[in-house]
Amino acid sequence: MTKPGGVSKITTLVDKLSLRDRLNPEEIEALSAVLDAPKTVSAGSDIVREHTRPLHSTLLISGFSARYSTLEDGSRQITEINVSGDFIDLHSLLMKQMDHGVVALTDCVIAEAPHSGLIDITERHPHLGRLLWLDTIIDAAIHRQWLVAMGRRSGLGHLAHLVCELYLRLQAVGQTGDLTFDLPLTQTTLGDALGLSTVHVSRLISELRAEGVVAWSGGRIDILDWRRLAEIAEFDPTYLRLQCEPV
Amino acid sequence: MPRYFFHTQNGDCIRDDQGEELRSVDAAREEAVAVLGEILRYRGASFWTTRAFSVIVTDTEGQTVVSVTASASDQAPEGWTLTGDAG
Repeated sequence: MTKPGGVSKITTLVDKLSLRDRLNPEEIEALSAVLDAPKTVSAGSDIVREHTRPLHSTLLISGFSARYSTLEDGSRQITEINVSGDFIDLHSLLMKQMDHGVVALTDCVIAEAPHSGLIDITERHPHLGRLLWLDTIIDAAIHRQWLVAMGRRSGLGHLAHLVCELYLRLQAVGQTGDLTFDLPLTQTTLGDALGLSTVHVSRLISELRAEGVVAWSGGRIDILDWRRLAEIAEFDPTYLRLQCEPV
Repeated sequence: MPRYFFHTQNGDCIRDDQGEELRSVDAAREEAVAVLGEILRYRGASFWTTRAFSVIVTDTEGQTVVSVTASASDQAPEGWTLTGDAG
């Protein structure tokens, strides 16, 4: 693969990592080299299966995917929604066996990085290794915030929190307009992410609309009043670690 | 799969025009109880201003299939006694 093509598959990942600390050209080249050619996965199919032992980690280049666990009665809890530039199962490099699955929520473009190549990065590019470590720590921080939201926030606060979070995460990888972004997910999927019934999710969306906080139609969200949305969510972006500081 | 509509009555009636496809009436029952529980969870003491909350499920014909209601009161429900207090 030529260099320009190789660089484009990692644009969103590089955007995201460079937001937290500067990457040098060798590190960008190492990321590009470790990833195989991009491929597409259709909506609804598993990108990584629960309990498997993957020998590679997967980068989400475009689309939306979700980490999830299912219960015996068939109910599903989504524990994180992943966006472009997310290394969706970097954990499997060290965890070995997947404790959850990752499903494509929309058609996705992905690229796989063999674990051997990632280990090599940690040895030859320790700074890049720390940045990837930071990335999995931010995942953990996102899980903490979701846990707080699930346990203690009102339904409206929880939904507002998710909208704030996704807007900032998508903005970090250049996937938003000015206070507007695409979120082509069904209300059932949102319900699985919020731990709420589809009917309740639908009412909460109507409530946010009625308050003039967002315009939400089809798969597009326009944030009409960010301050009010952040207020409803009690949103504190610290956990997303959006500032550039050396690691 | 049949489509069910989940309306709520809480002082005002909020109509569900969108509905949801579910396998069976049992699934509609499950969803109705979940909706009632989820919404009441955050209502707090303000529930006493309306004192009742219902989820009414209708089918595509507009016929009621099931409903579930919770109520708030300052009185115990009729026939209730403290266990072992009967003497």
